[in-house]
Order: sequence, then C-alpha cells, then structure tokens
Amino acid sequence: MATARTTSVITTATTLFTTPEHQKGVITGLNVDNQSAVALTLILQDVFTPDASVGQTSPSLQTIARLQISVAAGQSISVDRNSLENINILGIAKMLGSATQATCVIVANYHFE
Amino acid sequence: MITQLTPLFAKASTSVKPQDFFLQKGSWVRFSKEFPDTHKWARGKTFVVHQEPIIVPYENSYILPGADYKDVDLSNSTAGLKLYPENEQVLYQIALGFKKGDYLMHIYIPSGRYIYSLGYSSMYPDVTSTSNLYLGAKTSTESSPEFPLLHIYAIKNMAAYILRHYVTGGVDFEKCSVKFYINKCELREIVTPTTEQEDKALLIRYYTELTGF
Repeated sequence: MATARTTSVITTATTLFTTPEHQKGVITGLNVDNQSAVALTLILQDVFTPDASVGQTSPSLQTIARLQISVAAGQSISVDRNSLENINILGIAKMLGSATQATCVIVANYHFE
Repeated sequence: MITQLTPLFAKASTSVKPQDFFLQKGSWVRFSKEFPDTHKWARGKTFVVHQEPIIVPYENSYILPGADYKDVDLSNSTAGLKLYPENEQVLYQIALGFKKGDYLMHIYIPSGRYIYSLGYSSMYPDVTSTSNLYLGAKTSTESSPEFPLLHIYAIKNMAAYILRHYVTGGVDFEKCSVKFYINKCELREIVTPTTEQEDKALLIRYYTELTGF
C-alpha cells in the first residue's frame, strides 16, 4: 500500500506512480481538494508503450484515460473504492488537469498486484 | 512432456502444496523411447534426481492490445526466453503460473504444433476462431502463480515450447504476466532399473506423443 500526493495540477500531466514491469497498479482511493478559484476537470491517465504483437509490430506510446472527474472551485471529492475497482494501471499513472493550478491537492492510495 | 497435475512426489505433507508437485532428490524419471538420436543420452533411459533440486523463480510480462497475440519461445534460441538447460543429464521442470487478467494462453511445441487439440480435424486451438479460441486455452484459473499446476519439462536442445499470449477482445490493452518456477534437476542414470523404478518413474514423453489421438 502506498500513497502518491501532488499539490498542483498541470496541463502536461503529473506523474503519480510508475507500475513495476510484472505487476499492475491498483488505485484504492482518490481524493481531490480543489483549493483553487476555478473548476477543474481531471483525467487519470495510464501511459505505456505496448510490446510488439502480431497486429502491432511497431507499437507506439499509448495514453489511456482511465478516469475523468470534474471538481468545482473550492470543492473536495473522494472517489470511493467501488468506483475504482476495475481500474488497472499498466504503466505510469498520471493526472492531467484542464488548467494549471498550484493549489489543487490530489492524494492517490494504491498498491501493486 | 507436459502435465497439468503432476504425480505427487513429497510424502511428508498433510495438505497438498505447489512444491509437492516438484521433483525432489530421489525422484525417478524415465524418458520415452520416442526421443530422437539428438537426445540419445536420455532416450528410453531411467534416471534418479541425485541432488536436491534448485528452484529458480522468473517472471515475464507483455502489454498487448485486445484481440491480438504474441508468441513467446521458452527455449534457448536467439529470440527465446532461454529457460532450457545447457547440459545433458539435466532436466528442468518448469511450473507456469498465469497472473489474473483478460488473456489466455495456447501452448505449442514446436511452433505451430498445438498440444491441446481434440481428435476431430477442426478441433484445435485457434485465436482467429470464435469457437476454437477457448479450446485448450490456459488461464490463471487453471494455473496461478500461487498454485502453479501446469508443468513442462525441458532438456538440452529440446524443441521449443511456444506460449501464445492472446488478449481477449473488448479490452484496450492487457498486461500478460507469467511466473515461472524452474526446478533444476541433476540426473544420474539408473543403468539397470528395477520394474518398480520403471513403473513409478515419471515418464517424460516426447512431444510427438502428446498429440494425434
């Protein structure tokens, strides 16, 4: 069990954690405290380069949106375990914001399995 | 040779554990007479595992797109995972455990020769066929990393086992992770085996004997 915390949201995505090669990342809790003065839309991304397969002999970097939430200015949101149950992170977990804000705190609880 | 539920070798356990399925010091193995000349040190002979085996864990993973597949060679060929022995008189008993996920495995030896087929000509594993996709397919339900029941057996220069990793349709990508436990067994030939030794020895069949019936 581990916790990733970031105190700013940026439009180029902030890394939350990197999944080990032979495991999957499982997020068990996600809290967003938007202390900024603007509403934000956040996208949880899974970023990885697949291995070569029969159908994709030269695979390229993939950025998959695993979750999207919108948080009003000055509001907090907790995404519960049930909502996160089927989200697996195969590569790097990143959080992308609709605007760059230095006062939006995101805490993710996760483990690998 | 391939088994999913191997004979029990340990005699001390009161409940069955995965390690009970591994060959141990004193276990007997016998190689089929169908092994070709390239394996004449083993062909038709009976051996005893004469040292305590060493179990080497190993993991391998691939991220693949849905409805797509990748073939993985377990042998020591250039593109293989190199899980085979390099010396004669050595047998690797390799347990495979599949981590949970939306994927399945078809097993071939050598490439293109499926093991888990049925007698009827069209009943063979085929990832391009909706009806035969799950025929002979192995998943974490049947052999997990915590309780690996699928064992393959490899000797030096043996034909390559191929694991076809297939990610089921309807998912974007999946990570296919296989955990291997390689039980390295040093063998000593029993020159004149008793009937009991021949009968009780684990028979390692050549791959041509695994299909065609």
